Amino acid sequence: MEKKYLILLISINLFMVLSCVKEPIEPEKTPVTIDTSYSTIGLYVLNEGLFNMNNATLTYFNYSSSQATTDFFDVQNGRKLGDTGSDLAIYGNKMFVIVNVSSQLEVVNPYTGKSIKQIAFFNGNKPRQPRSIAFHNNKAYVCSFDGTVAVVDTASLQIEKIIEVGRNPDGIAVANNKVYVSNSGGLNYPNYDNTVSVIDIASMQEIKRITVEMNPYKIVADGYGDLYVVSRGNYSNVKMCLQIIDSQTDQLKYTFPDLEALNLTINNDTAYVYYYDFISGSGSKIMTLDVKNETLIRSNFITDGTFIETAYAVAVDKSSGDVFITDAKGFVNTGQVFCFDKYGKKKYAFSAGLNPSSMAFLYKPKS
Amino acid sequence: MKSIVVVFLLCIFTFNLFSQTIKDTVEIKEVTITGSKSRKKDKSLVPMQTLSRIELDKISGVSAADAVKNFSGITIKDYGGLGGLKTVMVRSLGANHTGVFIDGVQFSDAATGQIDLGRISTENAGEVSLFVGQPSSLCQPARYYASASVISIQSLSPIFVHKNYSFKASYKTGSFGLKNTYFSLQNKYNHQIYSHFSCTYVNANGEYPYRLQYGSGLDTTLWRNNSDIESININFSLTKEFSDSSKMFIKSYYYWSNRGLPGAVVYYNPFSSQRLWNMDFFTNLQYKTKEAKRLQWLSNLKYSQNRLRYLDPEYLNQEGKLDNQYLQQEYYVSQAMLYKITDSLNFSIALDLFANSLSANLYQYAQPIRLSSLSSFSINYALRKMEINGSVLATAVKEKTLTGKAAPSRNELSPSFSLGYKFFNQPSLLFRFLYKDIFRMPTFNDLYYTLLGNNHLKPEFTKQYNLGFTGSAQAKFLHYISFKADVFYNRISDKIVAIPTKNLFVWSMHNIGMVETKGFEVQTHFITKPFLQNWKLSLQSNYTFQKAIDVTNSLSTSYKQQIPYMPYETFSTMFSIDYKKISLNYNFLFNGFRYILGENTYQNMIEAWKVTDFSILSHFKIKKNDVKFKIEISNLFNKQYEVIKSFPMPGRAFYFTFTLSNE
Repeated sequence: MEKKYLILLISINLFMVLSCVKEPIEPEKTPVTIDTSYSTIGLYVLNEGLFNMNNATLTYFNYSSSQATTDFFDVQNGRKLGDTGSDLAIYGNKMFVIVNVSSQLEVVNPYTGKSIKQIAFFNGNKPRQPRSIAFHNNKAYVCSFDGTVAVVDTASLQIEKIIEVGRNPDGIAVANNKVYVSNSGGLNYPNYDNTVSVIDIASMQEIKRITVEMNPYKIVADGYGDLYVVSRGNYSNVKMCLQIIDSQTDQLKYTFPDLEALNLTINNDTAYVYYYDFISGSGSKIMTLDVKNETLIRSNFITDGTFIETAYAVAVDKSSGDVFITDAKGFVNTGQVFCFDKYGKKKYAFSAGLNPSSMAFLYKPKS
Repeated sequence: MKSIVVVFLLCIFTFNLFSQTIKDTVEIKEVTITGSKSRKKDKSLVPMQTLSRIELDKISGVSAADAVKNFSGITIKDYGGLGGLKTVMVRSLGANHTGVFIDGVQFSDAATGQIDLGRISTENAGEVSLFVGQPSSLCQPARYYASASVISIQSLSPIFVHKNYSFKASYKTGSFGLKNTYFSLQNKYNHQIYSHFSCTYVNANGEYPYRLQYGSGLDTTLWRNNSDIESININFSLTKEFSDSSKMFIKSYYYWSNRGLPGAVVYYNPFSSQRLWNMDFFTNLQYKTKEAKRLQWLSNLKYSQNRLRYLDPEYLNQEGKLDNQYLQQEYYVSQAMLYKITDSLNFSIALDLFANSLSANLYQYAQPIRLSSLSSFSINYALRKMEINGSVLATAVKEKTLTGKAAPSRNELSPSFSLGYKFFNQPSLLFRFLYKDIFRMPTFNDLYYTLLGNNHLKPEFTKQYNLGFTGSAQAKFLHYISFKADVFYNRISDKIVAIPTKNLFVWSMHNIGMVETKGFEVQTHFITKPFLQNWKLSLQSNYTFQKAIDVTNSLSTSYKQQIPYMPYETFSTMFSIDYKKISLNYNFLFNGFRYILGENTYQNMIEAWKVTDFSILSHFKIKKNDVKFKIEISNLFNKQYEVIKSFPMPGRAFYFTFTLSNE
C-alpha cells in the first residue's frame, strides 16, 4: 500500500518538473540590406521603449519592399540601443540616435545600420541625460537634462565644448546662426522653468534668455526665421500652448489663441501640429498651420476618419510630401506608424516598436 | 522618535506593574509544539499551507520571502539581492491583496499597500502560514477578513524546560559580505509572567556579479553596486497569564535600515547612488481569554509608525537632489468575541477601528487621514461530516486631507462562504469549497501621489472561488503523507492601473482593469518513519498553473493575454534526508516564463528560471547546550536570471550559520 502511495507521489513530482507551457519562439533575425534606388530610400523610427527596460529600438522601414524591421539596430550590430531613445536625426551621411537614460549619443551609418561610434554623455559619474539634437555647419548641438548643450563635431565625432544653459533643456533648434534651447525645468515640479536660451554660434556663448509660457518643450524653426515653441504648462490650470519667437529680435512675438499643442513638424509653409486628450476619449487631434501667415489651415488634418489613439511623433517626407504620424497605442503596446498623403488620406500603416517617438527619412545621396 | 521612547517606557511600566502585583503562583502548563498542530492544514476549509520551525531551519535564507516563495499559488516579485524589495501575489491577485500578520498584528502600509517580506525575519517564527481567504479560526480581528489572502507568522511559544531563561544566539556570514548576528532571550519571572527579547543586526555590502547581455551578440559580466544594507530588528514581548488561563500580551517591533538602491540595470550607464532609509515600529497590547471557553474575548490595541526617506543625490533639479520623507502612523483598536451556542454551532463578532495618516515633504501634499471601521460577523456550523462557515464584513472608510479634495467615503459589504465535507477521518479525506468577495482600498499613493494620484478611485474588487480536496494518512513506513488539489477561479474588477491621462506626460491611476484567472494547484507531502534505525526522508512539492488574462478591452492588443509578471506555472520542491542529527536539504524552485507587458510577444518575455538551494544542517550538544551548524549554498548551479526586468538576481552564494542555545 505505502509503496503504491510512494510511487504515485514520486511520479506526480516528476510530472510537475516537466513544464508544459511553451515559451514563444524567438523571431528569426536576418540582416537587412538597404535598397538605395528610390529617392526616399527608407524611414527610420526611433522607439523610445519604456523606462528602465532597456528596450529602445530602431525600426527601419524599407520603401521599396514596404518591409518594417523593428529591432533593426540589434540585428545589424548584435547589441541594443539602451534605455529610453529620445531623439533621432540624419545629418550628412550619419545618423544620430540619442539614448536618454543610457546617456549615449549613438552615431550610425544610415546606409548600413552599423554603429560608427557611441559617445558617452557623462559628467564624471553623473549621466547628463541627453534629450534632443540640432545641426549647423557640421556641428551637432545636443541639449541634456543636466542644463548643458554639447557641441559635437560631425566629422571627428568629438565633444568640443559644453555650454551651460537653463534647467532641464528639452528641445533644440537652429535659426539665424543661433541655437535655441527650451529650458523646461521639468524636474523641478512645481517650479518649472519658462525660458528659451539663445546661444550665439560665433562666440559659443549663451547670450539671452527669452521668457515664454511655463515648461517649454519642442522648438522647431520655419523658413522665415521664426521658431515655434510648444509649452506644456503645469498640467493643471496652465494649459499647453504654441508660441512663436522671432529670431531677428529674439522676442516672443505670437501665441496661438485657444490652441493646445504637444508637438509639431514644419515642411515648407505648413506646420503639422498634434494634440492628445485622454479624458475626451476622442484620440489625437492633428492640425495644420500656415507658417507664412501664422494662421490655422485645418483643425482636422485627417480627412478619412483614421483613428490615432495616442499620437507620439509627426514627420514629413520632403520628396513626396507624405505625412507620417506615429501612434503609441496607450504607451504599453506595440506602436504603429501611419502614412497619409498631403490631403490627410491614409496610404498605409506599419508596426514599429514601443512608443515610436521620432522619425528620420533616408534620402538618396546627392551625386 | 519621541513616541517610540514613550511606548518603550510604557512597556517597561506595564512590565513593572505586572511583576509587583503577581505574587500568587498558579501552576500553568507550558506550551509545547506538537506534531499534530502543524497538521491543521489538512482539516482547513480554506486552502492553507504551513512551514514549521523544523522546515524553516532547512530552507535557505531567514526572511519571510524566503519561506513563502515555496508555497503554491505564490508569485514572488523580487528586485534581487539582500536589500531588494520582495512582495508576493497570491493566485495572481496583486501584492495589495495579501495581508501580512505577525502574532495576530497586521503589518500595515497605507501608502503603498504592499509589505516587503524581505524585511521580515523568520528567526523567531514557530510557523509561517498562507491562507487563501482567511484563517478559519473564528475569534480573530475583523482585519483578517479584509484581504484576499493572509500570510501569518506565528512566533515560537516559549519553552522553559529546566531554567527560568532560555537563550539563542546565532551568527551567519558568507557571500555579499553578509554578517547577521541574532540574539534572543526568554525570561520567566514567575509562573505567569514571561518575556521574550530578540535582536537581529544585519550588515552586508550586497555586491554580486551578474551577466549582462546587451543584445543578441555582446555579453559581459558586471557587478551589482550600491547594494549595501545595514539593518536592526528588535522584538520584545511580555506575556502575563491569569489564573483563568486568559492572557495579556504586549508586543513591540522595531526595524531600522539604511540601504543603497542599485536601481534597474541600464545599458551603458552603470552608476547608481540612490539610498533608502526605513524605520518601522509598532506596539500591540492584546488580551485573550482561554480558547476552550463558551464565551471568548480577544482585544487588541496598537500604534504603529513607518518612516521612509528616499534620497537621489544626482537628481537633475535645481537643488541637485531629491530627498523625500514620509511618515505613516496608525492607531488601531479591535474587539472580537466568540460565542458557542452549542458544541457544533458558534458565531463571532469583531469590530476594528483604525486611523491611518501619511505626511510627506512633497509640494502641496494632501497629508491624508483615513478612518476605517471593519465589522465582521461569522458563523460556523460543524457536524460530524460537514462543516459550514459563513461570514460577512462591513467596511466603512472616511477620508480627510489637509490640501486638495479627499476621496469620497466608502461603505462596502463583503461576504465569504466555505464548506467542507469529510469523507473519512483516518485516513482523512476532505472536500472543500470557498467563495470570497473582498476588495482592496486604493492606497494613499493611488489617491494622492503628486500628479499621479486620482482621488475618485473606487476600491479594487476581487471574487475568489476554490474547489478542492485534501487527503492525508499515516501508514507503516510513513509518518505522514498528504495530497491536496484545488481548482480556482478569480476575478478582479475595477483594477487600479496607471494610464496616461490629460496628456502624454501625466499618468494617473484609474479603475479600468479586469482580470480573470483560472488555475489549479497540486501539493504533495510525505515524511517517512525512521528506517534503518537513523534515516528519515521527507519530500514536499507544490505545483501551480494559472492563466490570468486581461479582459478589460476587447479592442486592445493585450485582450485575453496573460497579465504582466504572472507565470503560467510555478513549482517548488523541498527534499530532505535526515541521518541522526544531520540533515541534507535540497530546495528547488521553478517559475515559468513571464511577460513584462500586456502583449504576449517574444520581445516582452522574460525567461523561466530554475533555482536550486542546498544546505547541510547538523545539531550537537556541548555541555547541555544545543549547537547548530548550517552550511547553505543558494543558487547552486549559478543560474543567471531576472524576476523583474532589469533587476538581475544573485548567482551562487555560500553561507555559514552557527547557532548556540540552551534549549
